[in-house]
Amino acid sequence: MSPDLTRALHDAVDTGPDDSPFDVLTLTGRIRRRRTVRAGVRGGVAVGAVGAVAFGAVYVGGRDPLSVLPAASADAEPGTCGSDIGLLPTAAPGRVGLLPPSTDGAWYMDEDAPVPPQGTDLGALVGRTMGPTLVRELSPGARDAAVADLVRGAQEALAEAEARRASRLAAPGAASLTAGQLDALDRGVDVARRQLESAQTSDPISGVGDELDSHILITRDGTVVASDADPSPDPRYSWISSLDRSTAMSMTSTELSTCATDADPGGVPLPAGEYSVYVSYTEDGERAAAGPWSLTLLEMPPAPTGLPEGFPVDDIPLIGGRLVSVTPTGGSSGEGWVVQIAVDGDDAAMEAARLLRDDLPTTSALSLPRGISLDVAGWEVGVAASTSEDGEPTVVYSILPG
Amino acid sequence: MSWEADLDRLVTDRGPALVAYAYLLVGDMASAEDLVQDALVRTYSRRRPEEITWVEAYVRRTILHTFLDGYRAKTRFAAVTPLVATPEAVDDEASVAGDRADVARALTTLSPRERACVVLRFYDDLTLPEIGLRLDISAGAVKRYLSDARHKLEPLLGPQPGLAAEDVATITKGGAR
Repeated sequence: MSPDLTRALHDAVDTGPDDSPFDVLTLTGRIRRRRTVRAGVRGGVAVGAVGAVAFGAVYVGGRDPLSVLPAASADAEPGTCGSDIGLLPTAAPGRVGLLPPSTDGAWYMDEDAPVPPQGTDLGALVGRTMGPTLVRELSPGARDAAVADLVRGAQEALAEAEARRASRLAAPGAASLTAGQLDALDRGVDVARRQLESAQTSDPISGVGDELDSHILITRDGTVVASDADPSPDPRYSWISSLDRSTAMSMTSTELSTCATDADPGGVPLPAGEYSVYVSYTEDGERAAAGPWSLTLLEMPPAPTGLPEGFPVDDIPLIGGRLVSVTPTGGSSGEGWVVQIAVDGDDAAMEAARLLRDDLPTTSALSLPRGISLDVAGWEVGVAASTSEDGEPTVVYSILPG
Repeated sequence: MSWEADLDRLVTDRGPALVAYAYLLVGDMASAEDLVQDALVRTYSRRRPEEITWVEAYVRRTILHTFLDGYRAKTRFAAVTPLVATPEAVDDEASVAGDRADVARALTTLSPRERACVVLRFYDDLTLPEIGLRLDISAGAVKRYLSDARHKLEPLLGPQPGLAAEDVATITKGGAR
């Protein structure tokens, strides 16, 4: 008898296990971080709109910025929150590295490249999300398995293309196939054959999982103050190899907020300052640390002042910074504005978009897709990185009624 | 009640049900848990504590949109990245036996929008126009998605008259619980 969909779905949802799978402390930390950032920016815009003096220390609510960092703990296990990074053995050089997020929208290397050296700079960020690309040596075992997968897939694709052509040619009415249709069938087989040749010799390969079991660790004065809560890269996502199949690259994403200790759920955005970034991974059965790479976190500037009356300050949280210009503009559906704000930070435009929509997909690029437009509270908001006439880096908003 | 206490109560009382709902959409337990966590973070990042039933409905709606947004994002970025999550096998422990396991397995054969339409129709008990409003598509498109779902599900589950286009607007709300 066929299952009744309504009953089956209700049973599946409402009669499941009783135990909650979530750690409320971890959730609370993540939520606290977001509430702090959103409240700071939205409040700043509202203050700016009435011309008040800007306020600072958005991220930490006026406390001593460094007081939010987890304290060094001699009892902390190596690699955990509050531990001394020096307790982790130093990794062998050249096995794993971090590439700074790209500024052109791409996250992968177009050409063969070795594992990035340690000591390079990952940039200056005004936001509190970091997404460098993890590059690592590809082991022979993983490489062979991935090549086998790629070749098998290409063989199946070729077999399907050949079967499709044979089936069409054997079917009634084959005689009426046009030259273009016959050509398309031949071309399908030819493409599949060439893809198989590439798979056997030269295509980048991809796979799933993180053999290195790697984590990103952020330190200040040698103490671990933040880390990616989940393995990085997420082992359920794939990696892609360089063209010579010697290295593998994966996206990472780390929220730059304080890590959790037994006494504190963390989740507070890291204060401005200089930090060091390490990759902790398993090497010969033991955990080791590669790094450091340097990272500068900038303070979010106060909200811009001087916005015109009627500007939807409560609907559209603008990034902090100096208002360079605001120009009324018109569209078919009503009046809007073009707003230019001077703000430092390699990720300023991306952060501006993230403040408007916190569900943007994670990327390892600092630049926004060209022409991005977001629906925000009934407004159509375009965001782009630019520079002012004086050469300052700026974020430009185009705001029109949706 | 503080938002922290409100969150604690929701997660404790309804966490498993929210994961089960997300599981219907994504088809694997780890992704379902991630989806619910993201939805809870989004919900409580913006909202004050409110009545738990209402908040649960809001979280379910966020789960749905996060699922569909994620699918769109993956589609968009697929051209330049290989980062498409690998579907895991259906977790038999989590999906229990019998009809539930069959249905959960069968749902994984649907496209994300088809799955969303089926879940909104048969779990949330929405009508076609209501589903259309929820997904920002026309009622005709909903009908098409349900029809496509029927063609994929019937070989696996047997006849599903509830998915027939002429029937889908007439099922009694909250029926067959």
